[in-house]
Amino acid sequence: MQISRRALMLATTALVCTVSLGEARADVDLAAFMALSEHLTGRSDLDPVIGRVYLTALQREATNRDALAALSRDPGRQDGQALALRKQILRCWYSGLIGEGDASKVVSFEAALLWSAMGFAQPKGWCRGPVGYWSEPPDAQETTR
Amino acid sequence: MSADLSAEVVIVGAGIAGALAAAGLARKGIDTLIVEAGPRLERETLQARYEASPKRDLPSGPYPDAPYAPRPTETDANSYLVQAGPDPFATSYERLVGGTTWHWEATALRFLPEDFRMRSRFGLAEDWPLSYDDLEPWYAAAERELGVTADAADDLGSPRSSPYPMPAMPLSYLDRQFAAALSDSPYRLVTTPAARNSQAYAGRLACCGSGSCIPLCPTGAKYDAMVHIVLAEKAGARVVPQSVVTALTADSAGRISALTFKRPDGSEGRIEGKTFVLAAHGLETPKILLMSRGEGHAEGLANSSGQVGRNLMDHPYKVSWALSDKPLWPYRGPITLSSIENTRWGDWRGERPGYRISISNSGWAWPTGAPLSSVNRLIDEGLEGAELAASLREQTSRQVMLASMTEQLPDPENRIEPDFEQRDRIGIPRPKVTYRFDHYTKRGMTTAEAVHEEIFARIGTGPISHSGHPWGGAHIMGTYKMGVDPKTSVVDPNLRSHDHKNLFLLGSGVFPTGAAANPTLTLAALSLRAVAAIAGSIKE
Repeated sequence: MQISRRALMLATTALVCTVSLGEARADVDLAAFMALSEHLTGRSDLDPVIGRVYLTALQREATNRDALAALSRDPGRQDGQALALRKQILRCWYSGLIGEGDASKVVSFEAALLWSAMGFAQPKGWCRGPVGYWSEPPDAQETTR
Repeated sequence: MSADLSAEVVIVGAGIAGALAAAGLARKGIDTLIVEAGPRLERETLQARYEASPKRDLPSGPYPDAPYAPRPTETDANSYLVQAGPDPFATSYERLVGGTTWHWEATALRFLPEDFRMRSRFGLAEDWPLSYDDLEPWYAAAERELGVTADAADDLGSPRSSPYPMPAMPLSYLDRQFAAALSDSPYRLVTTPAARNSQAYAGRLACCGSGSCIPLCPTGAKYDAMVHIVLAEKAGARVVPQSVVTALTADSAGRISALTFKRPDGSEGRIEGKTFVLAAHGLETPKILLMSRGEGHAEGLANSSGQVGRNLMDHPYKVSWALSDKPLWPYRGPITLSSIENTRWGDWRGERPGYRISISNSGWAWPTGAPLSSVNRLIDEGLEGAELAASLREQTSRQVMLASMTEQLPDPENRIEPDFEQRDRIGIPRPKVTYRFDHYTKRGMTTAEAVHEEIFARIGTGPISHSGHPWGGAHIMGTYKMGVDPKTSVVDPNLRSHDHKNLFLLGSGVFPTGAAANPTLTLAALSLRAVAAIAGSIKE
């Protein structure tokens, strides 16, 4: 998977934030977060550079930290807080966005998992093929990416 | 105050109307200057902004919200517009060099001959002061300038003197299933004429199927007014961005002598010219005229008829969406390729509006913000892992949407005025809009909903969602209408002000009625037709 320049830039910024805040150091390390993300998405090709941005954003909310630690230890947890966090993590990976409403930011455009799930389409705004490719249904390869 | 700039022809607005006129004038060797309120951005910059915008799929998503040139957007119309009601005026347009063609869908329909004769044919509103036949050669010219692709075998009720410049774009798989389902119905599915390249044309690439005509074509295969901005500049025209025009000045003989503008820092400037052209679209053009108050013209310039700012029209939409029983694979190729156009005409237009139905090739993007909204809903439902991916794929492959665009009649009480009490960030009055839907529009909504249900029943779908109140089409028309009588209209058929012989007003604001076809090709044809009169005026 390609690492987008934007993800790299945001990751760098996020790292700086974590260090300078001191007490905001991660309670869950990146490897644990990636393992949890792979469990939730069912994918084994997630990009840790992007993952680090999501992890940092999630841990910025103090209430998430304990829940994230607990969920990483036991990815099967389904209690209220764990359930909300599972959805939050999936939303990050699928949308490529962090934050809510007007405060939301794009972390990843083309690597958002929604485009992998919708393999029959391309990230909207990117060229896909010659005039008329759209006249036929997608082939099996395009629908099972 | 001395002039900062001057030109033979000064055009206000760097959208399609101003750009086409500028290119035509500059090619004749006329010294032409375009003044644009917004900034100038290149396609690469806008593509980067698009990819970085969380609101990327809104028409306004990639475009700048310049503090000195505010504009209404889909999520925030009212920081700029002052809504006087009773109905909200939902619209959006862009303020930058290239104008709203950056985000237009590129539908390039001609009006019908009967659209120019609503009074004599149906007893409604009024006739245009020119006929379809008068405009036909200019429609052909506009199709060549923009690069229109369509089905050569079908004139869609608008007789043609010349072929389309490009062959039809192939329909999508989804379109072809709709066509088959409608084959024995009264609704004939056709290829929608569009200014998108089905092959390389005029130095621009063929469409690469990015699925993002709205908000931004990544390659320029979809026409936008930058094409004619660049052509105008090559022929010697100058373009001055970031200059927000505040008023025109008239001399004692009634000739327009100068305009005043504000820069982003609020400082003021002045531009002189022999002839002035306002091409700042249906809200900004009348606002400039109505802000141009002075002795002898307390109600603004070009307004002896009192019609400036009145008769504001849009194309109210009824939108319906559902999941088809079988996968039809939207989100592949241009956002729409086909439509039903034979509902635009009929003897019943005296009772209810003509309308056209476009078949979405981009799922539920417009009504729900899909596919992102689809992701969020499935996650909310608790889906995870492979099941989430499979459900998302399965649901988005079945998203179908129909959008009926209906004709709205002119109503003099529907109007835009400058609000001198409420000003924007550089102190310019904001546009105050008074707006209401009549029973004609409401009957159009009822008809469209029933027809959508009939079409969905033929293709086979699950439960159907409908938009409630009419949705805005962002087609702003009628606010400086054309006519032969200076007492009841603002410009003549050459788009020249009845009141000021060296002032021309371009754009869909000149339409006496709005028809049920997207306005751009018609306003482009009228702009090309006006070039000769504009050129002639500088010698008067």
